Amino acid sequence: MTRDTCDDEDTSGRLGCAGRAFRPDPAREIRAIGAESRLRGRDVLEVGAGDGRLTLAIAALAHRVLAVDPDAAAIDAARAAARTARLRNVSFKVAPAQHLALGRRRFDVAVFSWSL
Amino acid sequence: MVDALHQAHAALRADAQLIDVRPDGSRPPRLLRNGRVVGQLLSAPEAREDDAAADRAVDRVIADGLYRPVRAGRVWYRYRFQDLPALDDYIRDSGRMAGYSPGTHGRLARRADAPIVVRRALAYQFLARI
Repeated sequence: MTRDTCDDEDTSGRLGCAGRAFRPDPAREIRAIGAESRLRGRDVLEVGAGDGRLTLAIAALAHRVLAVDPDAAAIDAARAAARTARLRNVSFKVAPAQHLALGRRRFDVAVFSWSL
Repeated sequence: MVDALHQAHAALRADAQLIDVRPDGSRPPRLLRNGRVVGQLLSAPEAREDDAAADRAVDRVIADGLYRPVRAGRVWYRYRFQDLPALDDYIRDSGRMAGYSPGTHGRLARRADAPIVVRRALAYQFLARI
């Protein structure tokens, strides 16, 4: 069940990583873990979305995304990034993971990226 | 963390999945120069505790019958720092990294202006909602 792969395809100076956060490029992260098919066309809940680093990449695949994070400033940044990217299938919510308060809304996938 | 996994469970449809991706605490980041490993970064004790707590939370909800493991794995990615001072700055600001493995900083300092590549592991797990 466990597999171990090495993402060595990019040996350029950029190396597929994003900024000071020391994290991989989000689209490559999704591809590397084999999540593309699981996310495509689905309703996705992202818990701990932060500033939307991964949210936008998920939204490019998913039907709809609800991105949740307890940090209001981070959600503001994520919302602005989504607006800039003209993504219309993303909504945001400020809430702690322990109290999502989503009502009756249901999802096909929940993503905890760097948030557990 | 267990609470968060319970909350997600309540929000997922019957055939849904949960994807957990995070730094792999069992694989210290490796430092490379000219393609050769010259040392490792050490995780902060708090980061190791957080990783262990997250592992326990996932184990707990599986044991409780909320989720079933579907598949898991590890991917490596690379991140380049322009020189040793840039990496020192990152480590100083990082909440996860505590420093260098013994002897590593000295080896890197011999050519402090040369780029350094950090090779880091992400662990992922797909869980099916039960």
